Amino acid sequence: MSEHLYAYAGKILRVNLSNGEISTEPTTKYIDDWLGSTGIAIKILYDELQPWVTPYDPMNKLIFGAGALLGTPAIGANKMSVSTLGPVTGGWASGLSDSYVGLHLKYAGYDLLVIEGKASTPVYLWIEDERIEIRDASRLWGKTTWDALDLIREELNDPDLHAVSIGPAGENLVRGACIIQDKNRAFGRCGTGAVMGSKNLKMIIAKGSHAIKVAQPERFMQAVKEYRKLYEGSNLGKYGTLHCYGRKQEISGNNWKNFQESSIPEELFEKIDPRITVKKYEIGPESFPGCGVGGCGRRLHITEGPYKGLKTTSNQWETFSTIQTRLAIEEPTFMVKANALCNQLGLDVNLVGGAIGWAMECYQRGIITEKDTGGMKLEWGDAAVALELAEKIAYRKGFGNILAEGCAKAAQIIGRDSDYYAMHIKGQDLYEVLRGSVGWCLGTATSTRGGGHTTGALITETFPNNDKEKARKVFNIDVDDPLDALSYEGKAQLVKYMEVSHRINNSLGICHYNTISVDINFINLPHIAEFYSAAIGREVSVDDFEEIAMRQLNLEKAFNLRFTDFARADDLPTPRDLAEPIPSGKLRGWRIDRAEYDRLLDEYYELHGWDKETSYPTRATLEKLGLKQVADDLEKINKLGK
Amino acid sequence: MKFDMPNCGGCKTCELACSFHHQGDFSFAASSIKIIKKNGEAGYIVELLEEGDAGISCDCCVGEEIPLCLEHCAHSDFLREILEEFFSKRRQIAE
Repeated sequence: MSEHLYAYAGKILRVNLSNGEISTEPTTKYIDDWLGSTGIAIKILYDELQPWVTPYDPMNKLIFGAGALLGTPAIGANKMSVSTLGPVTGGWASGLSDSYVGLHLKYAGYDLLVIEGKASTPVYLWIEDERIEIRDASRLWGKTTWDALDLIREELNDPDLHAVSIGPAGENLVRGACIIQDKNRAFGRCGTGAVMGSKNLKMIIAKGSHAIKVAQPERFMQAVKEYRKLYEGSNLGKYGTLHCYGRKQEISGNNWKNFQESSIPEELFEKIDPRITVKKYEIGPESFPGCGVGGCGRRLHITEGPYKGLKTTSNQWETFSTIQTRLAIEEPTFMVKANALCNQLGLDVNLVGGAIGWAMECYQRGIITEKDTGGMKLEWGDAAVALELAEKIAYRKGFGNILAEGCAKAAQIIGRDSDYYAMHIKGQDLYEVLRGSVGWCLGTATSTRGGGHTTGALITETFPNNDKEKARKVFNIDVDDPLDALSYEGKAQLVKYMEVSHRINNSLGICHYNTISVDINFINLPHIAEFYSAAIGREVSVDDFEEIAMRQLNLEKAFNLRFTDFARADDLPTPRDLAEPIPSGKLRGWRIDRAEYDRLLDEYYELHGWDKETSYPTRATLEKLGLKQVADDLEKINKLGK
Repeated sequence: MKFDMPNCGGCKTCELACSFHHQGDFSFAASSIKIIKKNGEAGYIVELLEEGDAGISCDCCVGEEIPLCLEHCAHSDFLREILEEFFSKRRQIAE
């Protein structure tokens, strides 16, 4: 470890699976401009991937990043990222997961891990401090993530080993395959698991015995102690992200029957309340380093019903909304089963929900029949069919082979005007209910990773008990109620704020759920600047963070422009969101006003210094961020904004 | 010495705080509190290292106002009881 570099481990590890070459380089040169983890990863991807590379090409690179504050007890510092050229959108792919592997990677001496090339046979990667080995994984190949981890822990006689791995979905190049951390946390969306599968890499294990030092330990620990007080009395740990259930119903933010409805039918609201399910079957909490809310996950043991005997951990809102209610499934414990199955198979819950939801709606409308499905009846609410299809997706069997492509590509394969019912942003299956929450909608639709609410969406609009006075101060914005979900006022500025907040969190490894993303009283950029400054021993301000985050965002954008045809039209909500008013529930009749949305998008592009007509960054914007070469590159492909 | 802590979420923040007490930096390796997985059951085993165990033994956080593991624990009530029992046993042995 470098003597003068604090908080960071100091090295980037590169492993080439084609020729077995292993090398390291210092992290230092990337830190000032790109901060860490996701920021450094997009820089490496942009610089090193030739324009002709495709996602499953051995020349694609899969980059894991341990957040710059990982390995310290900074609040919420437990996220590891993975970034690559992704097979779902065809552009920038990035996902994060709570991760002990990330901490161990740091303690082993590495801030990032760059996987290059492709192994000729299945392998796994062993990282134990300076000992790096590419090992045979033929006996693990074909196994679920759960079985593979159990087997390796048993073989190595180490029950506390931590790993990230792919399941059958990644091996079979299912577009929405995820990488799973241990058994129950996923690097969500974007199909990074399929890229790992294309490299014949089943698993990565990290074990580190070194330490991470901070430059100003007393100041750092003082900040940790003081900011912990912000979480006193918070009940966000009680049900984790399922906490938003009631608020979602209020703002018509629930997905029912593939977004046809935005509310759960009132008569079912209590019956399927996921908070009741968690309360009933909880056997203990599950948490990750530094978590301010005491853990959002719960260990559950289902003791009755169709999934009796299932023991699993960490049930999150997204699975409930994107699979259970999207498919109108009434069995309350279904979400637990579906979550466990997706984690075992290494599948993204949003692709599973998105593709099956699209198929069920097409079946409802007679667009798809049993001739397409191999005899399966795709009725709303049929839990057994949903689980059978998830398996078929993971193994690319029968109709599952089409669904494995995700709803956007599946609709292209089937045709018959089924694309209107494929709910996606930039080709990626959508989970976010966009009507009824303007800042959440704008941040999701413009996201460079193709939908998703973790790179700019105003999540606080959709969470309960947030105070408008406090929000005005936190976001430093002069509008009456920044969190009024139906208002367009100030939303471009607020999304830009969240783009910065989320990117800084992602690069430093801070969990959004510990920040103002969900509760306006939690830590925010100034607190995080204090952590980071004390950790590295140099003052870094919120303004510095803003510049770094905007540099990163512009590079993500440029990366997408190189590999895709994305333009302004791809920053719109789905056609259904624009065409149909909310059909029922508390916001019945409310619709996205197209003219207002266009005006908002203009304002958003203007704030970023991007061309309003095309969405492309301008030379002036890029040069101001030190990205002159990027401006030259975009000019060559005729994608520089005017 | 090992204790059962059924409401431990396994976040291991205590391990990082403990290593800071011993070395002024953060690692799992330099911690004298170890959070160990139980086989399928809720909670974790809390192990406090004593002399003779591999690793740095717990010094009952001498010099700290509050033991650092306790100060950084989100489910601290239970850990407080564990520490009280451990510290009292250590005192008995010392006497």
